[in-house]
Amino acid sequence: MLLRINYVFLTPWVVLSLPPASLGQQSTLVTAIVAIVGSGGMLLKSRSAVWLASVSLLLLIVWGKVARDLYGLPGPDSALLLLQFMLVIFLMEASTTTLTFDHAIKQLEGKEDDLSAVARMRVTRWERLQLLNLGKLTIASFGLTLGLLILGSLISVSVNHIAFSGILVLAAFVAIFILLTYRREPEERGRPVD
Amino acid sequence: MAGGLLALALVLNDLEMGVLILGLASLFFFSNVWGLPERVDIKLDRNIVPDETFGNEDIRVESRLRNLTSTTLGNLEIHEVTDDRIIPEKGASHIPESIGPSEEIRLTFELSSPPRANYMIGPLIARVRDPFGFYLIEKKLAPHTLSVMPRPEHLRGVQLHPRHVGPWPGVIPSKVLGLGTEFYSMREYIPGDDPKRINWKASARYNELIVNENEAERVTDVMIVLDTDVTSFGPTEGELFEREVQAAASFTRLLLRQGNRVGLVLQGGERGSIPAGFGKRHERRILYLLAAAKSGRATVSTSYVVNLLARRMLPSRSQIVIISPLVDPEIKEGVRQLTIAGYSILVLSPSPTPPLSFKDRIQEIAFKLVMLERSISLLALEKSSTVVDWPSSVPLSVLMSKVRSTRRLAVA
Repeated sequence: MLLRINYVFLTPWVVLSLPPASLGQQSTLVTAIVAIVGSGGMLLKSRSAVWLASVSLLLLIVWGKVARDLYGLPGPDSALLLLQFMLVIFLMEASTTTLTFDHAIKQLEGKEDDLSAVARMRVTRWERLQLLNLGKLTIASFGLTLGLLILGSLISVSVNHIAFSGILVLAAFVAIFILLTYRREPEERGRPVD
Repeated sequence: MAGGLLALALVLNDLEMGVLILGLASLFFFSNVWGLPERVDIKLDRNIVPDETFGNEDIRVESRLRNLTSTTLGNLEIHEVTDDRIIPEKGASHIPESIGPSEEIRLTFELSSPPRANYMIGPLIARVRDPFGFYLIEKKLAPHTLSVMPRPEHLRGVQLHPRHVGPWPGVIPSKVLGLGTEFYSMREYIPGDDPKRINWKASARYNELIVNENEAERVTDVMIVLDTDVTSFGPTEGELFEREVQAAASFTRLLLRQGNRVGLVLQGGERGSIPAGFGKRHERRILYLLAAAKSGRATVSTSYVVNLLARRMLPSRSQIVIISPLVDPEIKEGVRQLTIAGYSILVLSPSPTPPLSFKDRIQEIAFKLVMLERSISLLALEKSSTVVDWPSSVPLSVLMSKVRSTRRLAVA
């Protein structure tokens, strides 16, 4: 149930934590729009609306950070920024899982036979396991990132040279690339379903 | 997204942005390592019971999936892709699942038999993803055909008299002496004749033993031509076409069970042919082709096709059964030529039921004109072949049992 109305809580928390100047003093309006699109998508079982609301939240988080840099506003706490970011990603996937579950259950609606009962049971089992796995992976990723963040804050680099920065960025890029493609290539998102 | 964030971080010279990139990257990393095993091995199998039906029974599709991997596949999507007309009444054809190590799961659904046609069940697609859907492994099982064939009606007493007969015993009178049921002639008794064949009345009259001789009954070669062009009959097209298909199936079954060699020619929007053959397997082949039959306007004249194929696929003087609504006026000439070539022709023409109401006056006049043309064709065909006008109110079995001569049977 909480998953179905997660945009009602998540959106104000994310949007209202952004500096109002970054949204042209229209934080309330943006909150209302994103919350309505997200909650409407969950109610009407529209994946595109849910996806749009979640991506908007992710972009708003990034825009908030960029706006702070551009307007010289005080930056947010890095851990909070990361928490919001990871939570939005988790809830986006959890909402999709809920919609997939609803879609599968809808197919079995009004069918009281044994085959449908077994299918219903299996779909419910899948939903539980899927949410559990999503939660586990999000917590693990959050933990790892936070750990690295703390580790990074303990080590200070005194060299401030463009070449060194370039090498550092390149190394980070290679590391991220390896992390992303380790063992296999990622799936192309939005591939058509047969 | 990670790339975009990295670019932003570089442009703004803000390493704090790296926190988000790191978050995303670790999500990918954990999804890859924990979300999906390195090697995903699943075995797919499917069973459709029955995969050939006459449309009077429920159909059960059971897709089996075995996880040969030693870890649980938590995010598995199983989708049995089916025709839009296949609607599961029990179970579902597309569900998300989770499957344990070495576990076997079954995606089973049941449906009432759909209308006559050949349906593709499948491909069965199994997609294994990590929980976030970053990585995908897909396995497919090739589709299987579910054939809903036309149900043949039980016909009896259909009398065909082609001049060509085969060497094997059957039910077609062959005009030669031999084993049969019909009286042919009498002759003097010869020692060794079966005493049961002695005609005692004739023996008494001629004062010597006389025996009856029968006409041998043999098999023949028959080609059934199904003309699927029913496009001029407006709202009654569907019903008319189904009657045609059912008649073709009924003739096929009857003639094959009598031991004849039977072939089929589909002529119309969709064309196809099966050369003459015999046996139960051959009956299935013909019914399978009939299951796929669709109505449509012919691009090549029926007359031309029938003449060409009859001469190629059948011995001369064999039997041809044409099932046609007689839309193509050229068919008269085609039948005349076949008759001249010695073929025996039976034309079965299902008569369309007039619709209760027409959309407008033009449609009504058009229908009447088509019916008039059909009557003219029937009259012309009577001169060269046996013609059966088949009203929808009369069962085919009743109608065919009355067909005796080469004259058109008038049915009220």
